[in-house]
Amino acid sequence: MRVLSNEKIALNIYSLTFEPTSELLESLPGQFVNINVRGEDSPFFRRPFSIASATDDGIEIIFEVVGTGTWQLSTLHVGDSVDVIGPLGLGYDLNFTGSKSLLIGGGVGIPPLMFLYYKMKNKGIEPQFLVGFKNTSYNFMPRNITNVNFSSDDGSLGSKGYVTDLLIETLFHEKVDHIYACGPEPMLSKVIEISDENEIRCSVSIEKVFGCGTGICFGCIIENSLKRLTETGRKYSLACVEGTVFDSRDINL
Amino acid sequence: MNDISKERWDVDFSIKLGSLILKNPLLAASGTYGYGRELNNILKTDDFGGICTKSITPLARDGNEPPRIAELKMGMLNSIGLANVGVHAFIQDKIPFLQSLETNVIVNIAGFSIEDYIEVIQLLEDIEGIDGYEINISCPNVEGGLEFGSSSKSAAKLTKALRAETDRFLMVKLSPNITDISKIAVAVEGEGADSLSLINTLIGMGIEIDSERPTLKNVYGGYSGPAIKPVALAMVHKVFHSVKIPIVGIGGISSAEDVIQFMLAGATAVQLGTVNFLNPIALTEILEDLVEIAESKGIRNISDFKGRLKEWD
Repeated sequence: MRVLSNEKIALNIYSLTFEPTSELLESLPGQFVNINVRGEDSPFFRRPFSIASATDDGIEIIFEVVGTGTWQLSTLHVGDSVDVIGPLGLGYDLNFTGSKSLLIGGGVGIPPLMFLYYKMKNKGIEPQFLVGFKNTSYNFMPRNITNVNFSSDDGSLGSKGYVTDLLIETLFHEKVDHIYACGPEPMLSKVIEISDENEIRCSVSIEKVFGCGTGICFGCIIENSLKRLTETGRKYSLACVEGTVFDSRDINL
Repeated sequence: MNDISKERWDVDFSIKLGSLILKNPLLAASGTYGYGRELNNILKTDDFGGICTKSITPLARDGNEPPRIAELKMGMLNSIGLANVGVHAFIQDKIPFLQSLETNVIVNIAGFSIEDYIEVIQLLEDIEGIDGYEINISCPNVEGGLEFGSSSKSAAKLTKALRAETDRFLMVKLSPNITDISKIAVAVEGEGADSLSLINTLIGMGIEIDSERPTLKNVYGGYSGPAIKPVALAMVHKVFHSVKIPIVGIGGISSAEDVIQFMLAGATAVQLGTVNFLNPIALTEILEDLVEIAESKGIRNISDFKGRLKEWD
């Protein structure tokens, strides 16, 4: 696929768009593309990236440069070709239930929620959006997303502390029917704990090391909850094809 | 979707593997192509010369605890632990799709006792659409704890027991984690195997410096990918000079050049394994490149490459 744009949008954070295919235009928030970063010292496995938006203007991913693979991606120019498979995995259920949705994301876990936000807006739903960054330099929230509450580790953006603190505070004075979350695992564990305490439905998007992303290597397993174990007879689910989005009641994080 | 019709090429890809006719010498390796259906919307499973299913055991298995895969510079480690749906669910849920395929379906079988293997074969014997069995002998035998494939004696005993159960094409997948692979190959041939596939993964280990722990929860795993190709080539070459039955080469194959190298070393066919994880359309790309190489060398039948390796003067 041809690269249409590749811009630095925050500290170490890039937004890369590439040509859409008809399949990619149909992709759902929570689905991902698996990219083969070809080049010297490139990683052995492909690298999965959540889709941040999918329009006729291109398929967008947002990534932080953390290793050789993402560094190589950041050096791609307009017109370069990129080896992409996708969309893969199952996305968030778009049959929104209840009246009040809340999105909560941490760092580069936010992009699939941005995509979800756009889908909700198209359906006339205005979700509350809570985001957390290390500090203000990492903030890449686009201006067209409104109703956002920020938190940062050092207080340089929004309230100081974890985004989960923001969640507790929000739930103290607002009624929420469904929480959609994506971010680092410790954050997700906390979000699930808070959802359970408040008896709120919670959907989380999980990232694991994917050997293939297509459900054939059986490497990216996540432990099923007792409920799902009883239903399926299986101890594990595959994060790539049975996720990346799970109902929090189905898994043990 | 890429349409691979051999008519448009001047190279004949079909090969004979024992009693089987393959439309091309490329099979999907066990454990790297699921139950044949998972990638069918990306690349038609039918385009393979054959598919070896995930290892099937009598009962369903969840496999080992995570982390159970890890990436390395030129390969990967896995300790999946034979996760599979078990033979009964395999028959009910997976066989119907496999029966619809117009390619050779080879069911890979694993077990922890000879009885395990026999049980699976007996349940599959009357089912149509299965063209053969591949026997995973790299499993620990509960009686004694050693892998079936670790000695000529135990490998031969298992082969003999399974030969008595089936007239179908029977291929034994050899482990490289032994002293002399040709001894095992000869023993397995002597008990009636129709073909040998080699090599299974090499035992390997990763260590994390930060946590000072093994990378895999299982500590040891199977090493696969391009890094193991030279080991596999040497073993195929050795076995080719030790047995008469056809050999299916496996080990880090990811290009047409690799395929030809294995055939020159003596393989009749090859399996694509880890490459299916990285590039789900590898088969198509390799077949296209094979045509070019064959044409440039004036080869009309792909099988002509087999064992053509020249000696140094």
